[in-house]
Amino acid sequence: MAEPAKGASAPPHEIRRVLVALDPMAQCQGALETAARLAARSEAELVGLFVEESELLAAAALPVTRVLRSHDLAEEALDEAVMARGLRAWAAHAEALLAAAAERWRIRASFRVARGRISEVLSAEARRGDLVALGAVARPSRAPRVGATARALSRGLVCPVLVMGAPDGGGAPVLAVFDGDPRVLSLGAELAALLDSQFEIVVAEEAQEAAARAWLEARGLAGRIERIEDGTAARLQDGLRRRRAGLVVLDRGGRLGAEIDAETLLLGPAHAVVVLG
Amino acid sequence: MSSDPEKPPVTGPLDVERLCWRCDPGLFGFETTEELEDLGEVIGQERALEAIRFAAGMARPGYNLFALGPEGSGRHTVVRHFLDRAARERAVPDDWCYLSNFKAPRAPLALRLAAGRGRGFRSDMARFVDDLREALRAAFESDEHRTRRQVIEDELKERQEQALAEVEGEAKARGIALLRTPMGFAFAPVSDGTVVTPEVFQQFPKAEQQRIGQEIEALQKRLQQALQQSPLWMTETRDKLRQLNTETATFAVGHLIEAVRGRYQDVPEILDYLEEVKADVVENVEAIVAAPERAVAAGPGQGGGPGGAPGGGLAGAPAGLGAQSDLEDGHPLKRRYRVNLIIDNSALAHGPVVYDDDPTYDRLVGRIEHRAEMGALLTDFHMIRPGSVHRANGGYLILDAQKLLTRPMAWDALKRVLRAEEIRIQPPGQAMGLFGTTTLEPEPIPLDVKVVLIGDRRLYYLLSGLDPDFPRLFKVAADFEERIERSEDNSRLYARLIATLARRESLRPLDRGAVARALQYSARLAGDAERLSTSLESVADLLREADYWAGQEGRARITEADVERTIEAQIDRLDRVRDQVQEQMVRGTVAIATEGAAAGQVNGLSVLQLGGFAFGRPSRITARIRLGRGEVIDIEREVELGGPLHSKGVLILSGYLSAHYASERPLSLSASLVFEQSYGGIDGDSASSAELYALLSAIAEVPIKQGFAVTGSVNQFGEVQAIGGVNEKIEGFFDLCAARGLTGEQGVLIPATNVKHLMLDRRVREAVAEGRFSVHAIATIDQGIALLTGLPAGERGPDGRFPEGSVNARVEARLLALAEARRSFAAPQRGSEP
Repeated sequence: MAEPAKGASAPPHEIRRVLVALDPMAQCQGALETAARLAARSEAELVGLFVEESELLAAAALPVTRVLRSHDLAEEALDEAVMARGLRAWAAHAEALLAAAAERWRIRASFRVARGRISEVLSAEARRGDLVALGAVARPSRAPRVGATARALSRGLVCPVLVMGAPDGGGAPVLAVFDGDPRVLSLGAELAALLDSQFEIVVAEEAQEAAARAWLEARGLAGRIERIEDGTAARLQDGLRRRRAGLVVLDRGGRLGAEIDAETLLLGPAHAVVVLG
Repeated sequence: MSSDPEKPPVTGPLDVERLCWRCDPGLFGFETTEELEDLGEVIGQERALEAIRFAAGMARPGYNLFALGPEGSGRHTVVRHFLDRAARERAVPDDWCYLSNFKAPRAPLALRLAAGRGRGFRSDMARFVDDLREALRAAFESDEHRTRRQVIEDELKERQEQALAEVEGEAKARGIALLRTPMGFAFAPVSDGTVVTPEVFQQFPKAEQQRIGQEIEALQKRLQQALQQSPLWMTETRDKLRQLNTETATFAVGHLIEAVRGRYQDVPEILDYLEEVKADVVENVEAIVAAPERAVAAGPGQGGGPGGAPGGGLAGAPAGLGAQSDLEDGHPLKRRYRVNLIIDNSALAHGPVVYDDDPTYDRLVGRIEHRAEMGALLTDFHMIRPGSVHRANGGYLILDAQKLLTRPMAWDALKRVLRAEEIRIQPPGQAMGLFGTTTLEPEPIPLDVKVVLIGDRRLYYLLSGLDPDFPRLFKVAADFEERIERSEDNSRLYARLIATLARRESLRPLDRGAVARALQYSARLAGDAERLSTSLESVADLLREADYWAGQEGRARITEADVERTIEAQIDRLDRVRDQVQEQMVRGTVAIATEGAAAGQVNGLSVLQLGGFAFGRPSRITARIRLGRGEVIDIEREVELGGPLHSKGVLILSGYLSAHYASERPLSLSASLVFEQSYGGIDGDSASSAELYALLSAIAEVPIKQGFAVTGSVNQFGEVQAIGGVNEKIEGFFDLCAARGLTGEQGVLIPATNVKHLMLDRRVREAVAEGRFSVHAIATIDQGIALLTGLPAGERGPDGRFPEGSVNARVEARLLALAEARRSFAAPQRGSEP
């Protein structure tokens, strides 16, 4: 096993602004915690974003819509004003979570509330960030899965998107799936350094292995390189499932990255997946 | 010198040999005390020793002992010595522990174990707790347990998800979305994957709007039905998880319990307790595993405190778990199952002898400590602390009676445990019935202890008279002698005692002369030439200080000179007041004549005791008479400065006067007696003979030689009786005379029965030997008045008359004259009657 990629003279991928999508769900808190940690280590600003979904406001304005209260299963009339108040309460809770994380990690943080479709708002906001972090899915579930927002966001990537599955267990390596795009290596090495984790690289072809090694040597970084024998995404996915990985960095534009199912990764070895477009 | 009751007492001027018992160093056959063996016995306290032996051996309730006697008489040493010996015959008592009472947390269980096993049980349970935590963690973090737990939890999630997914699927098929909102679940129609806006919805045909409304209503009912199952599923899930935890915990704790059980098969109480521990662990396993290393949550735990709610602490934690952040052991688990070994007798070889020198309520019968946490007072059974009664249980407990009685509630607490024959630990407020604060009520512990109180006689008699419980609980009294007979045997034993004290204190050895002088000192302490003092503390002080002076002189042994210097130095350190009193007399501020003669005036003697120092003080006593009805007025009594004994003495001398001189005529005088320049209280009857001399002198108008001072009480027959403090009194008058210059005409009249008490200072003896001072032993008033006036007292002749010129004749004549005068005064009054 290689040494952690710590002490690199110049960060390969600079993170100055981390955007985290907030809602009051548990996995949002996992994403917030990881984002705050990265922001603290990279001295970046943490921006919390809460989106008031326009769909919910629209639904509340419909004459046929009523709400079924979770705590007593009673029906209740709904209108836009009630929904707006509820969303403001969620936003206040999200802001409090952000403030607590900022206090804990001693970082600069700001909070914004936007209205619209979540994926669209996040895509727009992502242009102003170096990393977007969000929970895999809004609703608590038996197993991690990638929700519609994460999928939509990763389709129109303008910056790396970190999708948190399970809470960060800590200590597991950062694994970059290298398809030829050095941005995967830069971001992977940076995240490994920030998270005090070991850096590992998985490749499908011999040429990529050589390129990865050269990349590491050129930067004086240590890292373990493993080549998947038959070079297919399915074999790579199997290999990843068998091994312990904390965070997987994928290039959605590459051959392997496009074929790998992030949800499968979150179900198995990874607690988070970073997707590059 | 020894007293012989058959021989009449010596009277007249005393030879110098009679003024002090001189211990002959030739009595001892040693050069220094180094040659003497230690004294292993107690001298002259047979009565007290027998009482101690009896009490120590009497194994019945109430036969506790009160050792009474003066301070410094060696009561502590003797009692301790004998009880140590008696304790060797007693078996080592059992150990006592307090344990959790899982059924009634406020009433911790008391457990008795054979001596030494308590410590083992405590460490066994400590190890059990350590192992238990690890075993439970291992079991609950095992892959198998986690998998089974995950399966149960996943089952719940799947059921919930499935229910939601089914409704969501039905909704989707009808063009409706299930939305999660801040207020709950809602349904809304969708078009192209997007919730339709109100404007679009309004453009739908009315029938379509109505259909959508009905669909949503149906879906809501469907969702309601699905979600209604959720609490039931959650309850089922909790039951399954609880069952899983129970199975896991039972397995994990079972073998640990068995390991402890194996060592205590002969102790059914422990076996029962371990079963309860096992059940408690299983019942509370979730809280135990979840509890942090240092719980800080508030709550009363095993017992409670004001402000704490039972069962408080960590969410779902049992009472006591999460409630106690032990200062010694962080994990609450350690407190719940650990053993509070309050009495560990493993180091004893026999029954205990405990001396408690500060018997406060708490220190005596134990206490329940509390700890302030978050504004509340918390306690648990680990904070039960034993008292000296616990430590002495199965043996002997020695207490100072005065300390016990002056510590609030301690005496009542001791009586309570002795009466009940069990130790019940109660906070003082609860024992008084004052406070209803929630606290522990530990199970009482059976008591088998012999209590020995050490105190002075006054306390013993006060308790006997005022406390009805006392005679029932302290049936045996060991009365220590203050003095022992000064026989030759006892003198030799005393020498060994001195040798023992010197050796024990690492002092220089004493030579024979020093020992002899120390015995004289002891006799002076006893105030009796035929007795020795049992005040070992005073003798020990003498030896220590003599050792100091010997060291100052560079001597290797303590000599008579060192002892002498010690005594002088002791007096010098304490006699400031005596010097002041004497100075006032010498300067004439206080009028005391030591020369010449005066009628109706005599020098009396009293003793002032200031702290540890006593000295004699002369007082002028005067008497005046006039015609009257036979009353003698004691001015001291009239102004309430005279005590009852003094008044009694004055009344006795009135009786003597009437019977001796006026048995057939009315006593027709009125006399007044006073202690001149006395501004403090006077008590005792030792001045009654002096007062009688003054009175006789006043009646007879015969002057009394002022070079004499007088002490002694008198009875109605004119016999002079013994008094106390004779040595101090003689020395007091001698010092005054010596300060003014001894004339050879000065001296002191003492009762003949006090001669045996004389242990006078060297200076007095030297003056007597040189004829410059005298001490006269007097048996009767006649002897005394003759000496004081220089006239014969006179005895009645066959004619019933006193000899002409004698003092008694003059007294009688004066009294007759007064009677006649009274009659003459009375006659005209009768004649004037019609």
